[in-house]
Amino acid sequence: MDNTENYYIAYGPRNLLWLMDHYNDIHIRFSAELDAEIDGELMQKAWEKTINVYPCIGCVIEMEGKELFFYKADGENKAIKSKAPINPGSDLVSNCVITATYYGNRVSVSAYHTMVDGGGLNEIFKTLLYFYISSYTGVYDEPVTVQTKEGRAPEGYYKTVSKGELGEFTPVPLHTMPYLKEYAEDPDMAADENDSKYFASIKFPADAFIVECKKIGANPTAMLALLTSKAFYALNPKEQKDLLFEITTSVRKIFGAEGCISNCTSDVIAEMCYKDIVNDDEAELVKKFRAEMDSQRSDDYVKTKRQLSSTYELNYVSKKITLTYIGEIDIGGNTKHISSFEMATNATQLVMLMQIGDEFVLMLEFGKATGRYINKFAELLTQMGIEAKKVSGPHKVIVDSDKQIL
Amino acid sequence: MDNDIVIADLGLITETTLGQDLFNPVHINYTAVLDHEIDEKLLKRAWDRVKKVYPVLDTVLKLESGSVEFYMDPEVRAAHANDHAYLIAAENGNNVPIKSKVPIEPGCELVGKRLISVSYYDNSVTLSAYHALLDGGGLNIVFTSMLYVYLALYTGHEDKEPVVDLTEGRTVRDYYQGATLEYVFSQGYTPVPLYTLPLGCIGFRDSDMVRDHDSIAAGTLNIPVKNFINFCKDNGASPSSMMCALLAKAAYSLNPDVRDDIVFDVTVSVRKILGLDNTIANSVGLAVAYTTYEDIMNKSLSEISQKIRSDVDLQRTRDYYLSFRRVFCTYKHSPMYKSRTVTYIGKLDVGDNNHHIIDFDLGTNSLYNLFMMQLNDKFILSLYHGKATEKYMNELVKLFDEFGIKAEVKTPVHNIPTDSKTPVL
Repeated sequence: MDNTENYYIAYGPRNLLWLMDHYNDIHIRFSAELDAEIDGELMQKAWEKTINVYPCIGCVIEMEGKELFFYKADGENKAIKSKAPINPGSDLVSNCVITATYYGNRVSVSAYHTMVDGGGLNEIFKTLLYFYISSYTGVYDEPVTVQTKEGRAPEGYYKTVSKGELGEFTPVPLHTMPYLKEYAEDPDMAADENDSKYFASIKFPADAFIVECKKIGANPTAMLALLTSKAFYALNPKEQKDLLFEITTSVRKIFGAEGCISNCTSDVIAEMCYKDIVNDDEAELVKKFRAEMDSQRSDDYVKTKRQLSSTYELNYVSKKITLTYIGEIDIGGNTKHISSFEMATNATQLVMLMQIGDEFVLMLEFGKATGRYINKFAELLTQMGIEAKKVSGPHKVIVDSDKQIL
Repeated sequence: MDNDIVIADLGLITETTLGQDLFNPVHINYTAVLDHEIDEKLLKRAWDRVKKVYPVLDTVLKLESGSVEFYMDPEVRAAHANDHAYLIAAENGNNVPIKSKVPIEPGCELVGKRLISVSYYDNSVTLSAYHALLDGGGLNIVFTSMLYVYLALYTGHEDKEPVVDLTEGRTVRDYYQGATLEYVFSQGYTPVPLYTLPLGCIGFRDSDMVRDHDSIAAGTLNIPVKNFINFCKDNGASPSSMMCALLAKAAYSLNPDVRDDIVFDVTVSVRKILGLDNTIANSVGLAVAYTTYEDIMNKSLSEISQKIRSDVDLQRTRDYYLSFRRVFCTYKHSPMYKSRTVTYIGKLDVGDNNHHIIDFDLGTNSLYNLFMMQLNDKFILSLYHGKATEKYMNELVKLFDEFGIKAEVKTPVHNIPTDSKTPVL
């Protein structure tokens, strides 16, 4: 294809995520409810400015041979007013794979996971929210706390680690699981008969949560694992098998990709033992969990795994629950205008945590069991003296739409 | 399962890949052509003797929760994913050599549902088995034992120091311990990092390396042992690394537009590595290696084959094998690459009477494989490359010739006969 004029940046070898993105009907999506109805015109401008900061949003992705490349799109990628989020890659957005949708008080950004991870999407989302809310309120921060710089070279914010620039490192043995160990699972953590996925969320004060974490030496992720385990065994009183968690970690630092929006995650696994939960030695439990996680987080480990994944596809055999601590949405003085946040995916065994201002939002996608678990999480937090409030759901996760829905 | 009746545990049904055996039109089989018409009575006596040495051969399959039909339902199968497959004593039926032109399907009624069968016709005798029961190396041990006993009976000559072990009354463990997952996890080891291919190296296969309908195409070449071994030595290569290099050369000249790397899986016997020298049970591993278009064009055959050899050698240690198996118990084993397989089985050698064996052939249901077996002064190369078999054979003959090795087409490309449940006369 002779399209050199529109060439933007090389992505790297095509991968399975890319294929899944093509068929997935719910792409990774961040949504926020603001404290006022969205002004379409201002949103349009804010989205345009966001694209100027991250021009790859206005790009399409093309496969040539076995490699993927970004090209500037032929048409526009407008923010679309629609009840259902616009499907990335659809005609309505000139096939661009990162899209913005708004309706009522809500604004959403959806993306191909090949292109961005949760951390990367968060950067785009913060920039959009800052541009929009500041233009709406007339309150601008000096200095701004989000990325607003236009005209950067693509390499300045987009670095795919799939290109194999691993540099010097010492390969290490991989962490392996015991023989035939079966982990607990809740069969209700599945989509319903129509393949609908479910979502629910609660929020609570960040400082109170951190205080509780510190008491037992937990980081927020370990605390999520502990809460999930407690909820799990409370709701499945006969279950005595251990629980396995897959934890999404950002490896931007390891690959020198700080500030990049590209997909820079690596998974680690760690278990919570039933008998430790029953014995209630939380500090010990958290210590073991963190040690297991940490054994898989060294530069050498992450690079070894990344390198091996080009020879073997690395999918875990065991059943597991995924934990994702995304980070924080802080857009400065205007943060207070964000009244709620949701992240959506097509998952059914996913726990997510996001900080908005001085609150944490804990989100569950636990399929049909989502409602029972969110109530149990709220109860457990309240027992710890942390006041948890229901934010949303349980409700079905809206699937992406190729058309505007008004 | 009642432990009293279990003679051997094959491991988890999934790891035995029994499903493939149950529906396989051609089970792995070895055929020897002798210099005389097979004497049925002597063959029967020889086979009886071998079954006494390896009583596990006279057993039948028993699945943990019931019949094969029980596992046909996908939901049932998922629920019983960790069931075991066992070998138990046969209560009825008989497993005697069957006169037949084509191999008798192991596991069928005609051989009393034993997972191994013997068939013969004119001067040929064939041993055919479930892969779940034994691997190519194990089949060779049993085949050699049977031929040794048969030829000793036929000629009246027994070797002073037979190359085969005919001790009867051994415990099953002495000769039948496969590299099952349970065994792997019972072994102490030091975890090591796994070998990786360079990024983007995913191999390629010819577009006509496919089956013509369901037929299994194969062809056989003979090359002189001395000639080839000296050639390997001169180049610092092992026979299998040399065959990888030659196949790669053939692949690029047959596909002049292809620039992709080429990837090989080299079959590795882990008998020695794990100290299971006497076992006839499954104990194979795969080592992966590659070469590139640039290397084939610019480097010498010795550089190319030595690189393959050293990559394979990295993967042939005890710690490596055990690490590999454990990693792919945590992760599903799904290679990103498309490979061709090179399997050097070994040598068919029954000792003093070996000269009575004038030819060897093997049958298997393969598509990307090259097998090598040594018999007397010849290497017998069996090539299974689907519709591409013939052109690869011709290309290999040309290449061997280029390097001063006289290769002859022993059997032109032909379709492997499928196993039969009844004698074919």
